[in-house]
Amino acid sequence: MAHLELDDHGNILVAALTGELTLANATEVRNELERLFARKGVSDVVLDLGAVSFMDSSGLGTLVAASTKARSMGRRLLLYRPTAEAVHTMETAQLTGFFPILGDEVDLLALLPD
Amino acid sequence: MHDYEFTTTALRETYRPFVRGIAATMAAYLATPTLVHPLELVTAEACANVVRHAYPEGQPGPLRVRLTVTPRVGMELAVTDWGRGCAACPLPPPGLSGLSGPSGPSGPSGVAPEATSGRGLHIITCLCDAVTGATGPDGNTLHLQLAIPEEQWRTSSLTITETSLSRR
Repeated sequence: MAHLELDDHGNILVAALTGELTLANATEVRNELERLFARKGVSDVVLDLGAVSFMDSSGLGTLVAASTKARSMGRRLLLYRPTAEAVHTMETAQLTGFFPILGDEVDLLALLPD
Repeated sequence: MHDYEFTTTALRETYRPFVRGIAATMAAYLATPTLVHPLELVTAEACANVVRHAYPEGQPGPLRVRLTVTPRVGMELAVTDWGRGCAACPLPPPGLSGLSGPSGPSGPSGVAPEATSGRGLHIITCLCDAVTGATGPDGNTLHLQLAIPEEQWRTSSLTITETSLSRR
């Protein structure tokens, strides 16, 4: 089940995912993200991965797809506080640098409007 | 050597609990959680490949994983399906790093950054020491070998007693 908990900061949406991001729910998460990017006035979607316990290449693929779609619309998908395991999976998949990453709350607060 | 066999139906809904069960069996042999994630990841990628590619959509078939644990040496996984075979998903060149080697990417993956699929086998070859595929009368099998450094193994004999309950 893909469930994104939303925190609305005007043109920036912070969406928190819990559980896993794998082949089991990749399509649902992709659809949810694309729905968020289709919202009027949204420039950035910040996907909070802090509570995602496991991510595989299908999960990563869905983030790549959502990010590419966002870029084509002049928008951005940013990843917020991915776990060490998720970062390792991204490195192994040679996706380091593909996504803008916010490592901690300081990075997030710097992005959000006052 | 300790042998285990796990079977399920290859479905998006079933493969993660299935893989978690295999990962728990592997984790029981290890002293620290450090290697549990990469072991679970390669198992998940191999099983996800079967779910995605082996059987026609809507007609799921069987998925079998045989795990062979050689304490203080390594683990081997044989992931088998009875579907369309590996012709559509050829193996990339062997990985260079493995669990005991340096961490991080081992070389160009041949997967474009914006590609939305195709990374599973790359991840497998990066994290395993040897990857081979075989097609035969007993299905299509992906064999994965993982060397595990001696200091990563749990030494307690209690562990072996506990896990032997689930051995076949």
